[in-house]
Amino acid sequence: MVTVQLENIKKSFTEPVLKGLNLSVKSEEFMSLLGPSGCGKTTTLNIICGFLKPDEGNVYVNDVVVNNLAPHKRDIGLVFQNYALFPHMTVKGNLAFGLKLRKVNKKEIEKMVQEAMELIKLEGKEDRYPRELSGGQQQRVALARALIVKPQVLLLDEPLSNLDAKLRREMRIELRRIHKEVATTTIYVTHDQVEALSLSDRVAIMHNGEIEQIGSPTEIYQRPKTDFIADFMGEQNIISGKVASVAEKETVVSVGDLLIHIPDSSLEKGKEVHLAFRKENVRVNKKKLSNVNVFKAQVIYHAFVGKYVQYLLSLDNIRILADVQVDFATQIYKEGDHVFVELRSEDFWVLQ
Amino acid sequence: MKKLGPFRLSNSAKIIVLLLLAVLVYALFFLGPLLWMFYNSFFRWDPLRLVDRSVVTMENYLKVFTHPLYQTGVINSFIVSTAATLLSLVFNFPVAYYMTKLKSQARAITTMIILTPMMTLSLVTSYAWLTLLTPGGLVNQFLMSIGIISEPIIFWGTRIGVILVLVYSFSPHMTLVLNASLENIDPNYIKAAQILGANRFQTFYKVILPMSVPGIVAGSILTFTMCISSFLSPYVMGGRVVKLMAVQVFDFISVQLNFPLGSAMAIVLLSVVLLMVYVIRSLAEKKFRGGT
Amino acid sequence: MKIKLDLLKWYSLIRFVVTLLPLIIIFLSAFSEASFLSFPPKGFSLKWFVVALTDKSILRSIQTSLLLAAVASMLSLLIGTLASYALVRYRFPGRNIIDSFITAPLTLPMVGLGLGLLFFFSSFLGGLSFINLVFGHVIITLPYVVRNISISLAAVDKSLEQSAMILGAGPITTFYKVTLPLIKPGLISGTLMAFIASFNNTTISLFVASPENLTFPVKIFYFIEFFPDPRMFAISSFVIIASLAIMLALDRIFGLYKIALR
Repeated sequence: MVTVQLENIKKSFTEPVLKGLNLSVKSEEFMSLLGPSGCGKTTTLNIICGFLKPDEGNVYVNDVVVNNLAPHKRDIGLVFQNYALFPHMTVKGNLAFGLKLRKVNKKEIEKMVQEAMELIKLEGKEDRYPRELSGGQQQRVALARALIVKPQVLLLDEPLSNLDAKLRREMRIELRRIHKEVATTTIYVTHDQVEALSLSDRVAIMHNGEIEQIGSPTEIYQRPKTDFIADFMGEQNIISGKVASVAEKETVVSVGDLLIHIPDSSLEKGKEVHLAFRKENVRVNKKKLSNVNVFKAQVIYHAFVGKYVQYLLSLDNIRILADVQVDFATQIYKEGDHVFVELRSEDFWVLQ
Repeated sequence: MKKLGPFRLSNSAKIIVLLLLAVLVYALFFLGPLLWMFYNSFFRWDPLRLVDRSVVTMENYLKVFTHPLYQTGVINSFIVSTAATLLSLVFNFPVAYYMTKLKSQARAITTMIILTPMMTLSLVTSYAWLTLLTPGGLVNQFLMSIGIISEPIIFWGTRIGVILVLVYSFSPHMTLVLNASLENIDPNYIKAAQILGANRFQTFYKVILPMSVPGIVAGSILTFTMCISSFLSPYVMGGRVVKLMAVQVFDFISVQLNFPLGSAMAIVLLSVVLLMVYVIRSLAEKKFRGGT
Repeated sequence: MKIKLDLLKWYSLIRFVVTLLPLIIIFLSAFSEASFLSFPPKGFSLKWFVVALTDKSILRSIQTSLLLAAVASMLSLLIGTLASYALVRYRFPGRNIIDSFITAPLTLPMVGLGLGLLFFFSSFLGGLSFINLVFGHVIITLPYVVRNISISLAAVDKSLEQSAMILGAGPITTFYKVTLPLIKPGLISGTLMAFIASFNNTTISLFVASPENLTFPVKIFYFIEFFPDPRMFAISSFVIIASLAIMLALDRIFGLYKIALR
């Protein structure tokens, strides 16, 4: 079952912002739209809500085209970054707003407000005004106000970015719990990869008005498809080289004087490629322990960060980062030390 | 071209509906009269039909600038407004500065006091000043008793009198603009100056005064335009003796009914003020672009 | 160092007294016995209050001014609310021009505007009627309303209106239930300022108020021209006290300081 589907959405202001966006969100799924500011994610959200109309393409909600439907007829829940609670209404007034418009009777409203207050664990604060609540509490009220009308889809626009780090962690867990309880299809817009990875069933990475990769959090984290995503998902090592030879199970890429063996065999000989590997997969040894994918290196910089040591290493002219787990027995290398860097061939992947 | 979807169309329809009344009112009761006045300022006055539209002429404008009577009006207007602006700046700067030092309660009260000339009929307050400034009035008596003057100063019908009521009438504008700009000075600059060894005097001349220059300029231009546009207080204090553009514009209808010449004078006055407003605008924009 | 601040304080206090001086003179002179204006007042009597309050033409002019101010400020409220909404919530070609046009009447010389209106009405729109006088005033009251409402409206985040819509409220319900309650302070202060501006306006009325629609300030103008006696101070005392009461109310509700800077 698909709840929300965007089909070839195009939208330009002075410049094109969305260039043929396709996205389908399954029912009860928690989907994140992740991307840096200016990538078009807020425009996408505004188009789903109906605040903006796409220049081209269709928006479907439960298989119905809603392009020409005004926002107030779309039956969508929306939570803003600044919560947008009505300051002149109490918490109860805010929660009842959508219900009254749906002509729910008074008794029923009373009951639903109570249930919602229990869901967000704010029982007893019904008569407070938004300004009398903390940021986190306002956030939860905003969520409850969006959910109480039982929308077909819930849209969250950077909902945690105004909270401090500790509250943000707590609210992530809360969001996950509430989503499990109400099972509403959710689209979560954010620029924070930790939020997207920890909350979502699937993550869609947006870049320059297009979706660049869509997949489970583990897929996105471990095998980012492009340079941009690899870079965006955190400090990874990216090196460029040329395919030197292709065999059945093994391809060799030359990077300067270094020869790197990778399992991918779909490449053509002589092609320029970008290889990526995660810094936590780099092993650093004093001695050469193998013959494949072991390279001579020198420590340029090291920093002890608790659980691991971060090294900046130089392999010929290539600089790479390595995060090495340490315990009492591990030797920590100093600036200028000569070491060997070892990687497994399956730790490399080719970026598009 | 982008096609107009139903949303865009309804948006522009909404804007038109929302602005329709305002635009209509401004077209009929603001732009219309100004343009009508402008158009008629190029014709001759006719005692019977008011305006004789058979010949287009520049003679009204020539008259405003060359006829001794109106020339005096133009020159007096500039002298009186400039003097009133400078005096207003000197009199009100200390007050505006003092107000920045006050706590909110005291500031509310002083703001209220400062605003009174704006909220009361300027005709009546000007007349009240007139009763104080007569040759035998309190002010002259006081000045003579402490020996500053030996003969009473004549205020009614003189430029000095007009300047004084103008200063009084438009002090609120000057004070508020100055106060706002002084208020915007980051107190850290003053602290920094003091830590670097500046005394109060030096802090004032080297930090506060230079940083309030935008406020001084804006306040002065605003006060100048208010003064040169002003008709009521100068009329009460100067009557028809002190020749001023704004008073003469009123004279053309109350005494002579010479609409075309009055219009020409009004257009000159409007142009001066428009120019000033334009200068304020571009100064303000510059300030915004510069950032604070 | 202490001395300098004290000097500043004393100067400012004198300056405040000077600002209030005319008001003191008006109040005290109103009790004068003489039939001409002088200060200090000669004798003490209430006769000018009796004269002022029994002068039907004065009371009629106050009535005219109140009606005029009420109609002009209500019209400004209606027109101004609609215009402010368009100017704050939408971006469209010509927006800046309209925006600066709306405040223009306050910066241009009132005599020029008055002469233009008189001249225009003598050729078009049927002469010096009350309704024309009202619109002559709307031109100078609308800027106050638009400025106040625009500031309030800009402070209402768009996301509040969008939240209401997505919760199921149509445009009109959204405006009525969310926008309007939130801009109420701006509506009230703008309308009150418009009322005061219209009530106190002398110049426009001097040009375009016909003898049947003589307003209070115009009446005062003629008093000054033809018989300046304490009765105009007596009646002005009442008006000043009423304006001060409104100012106090404004200050109580919204903080005058903020309003004055708009």
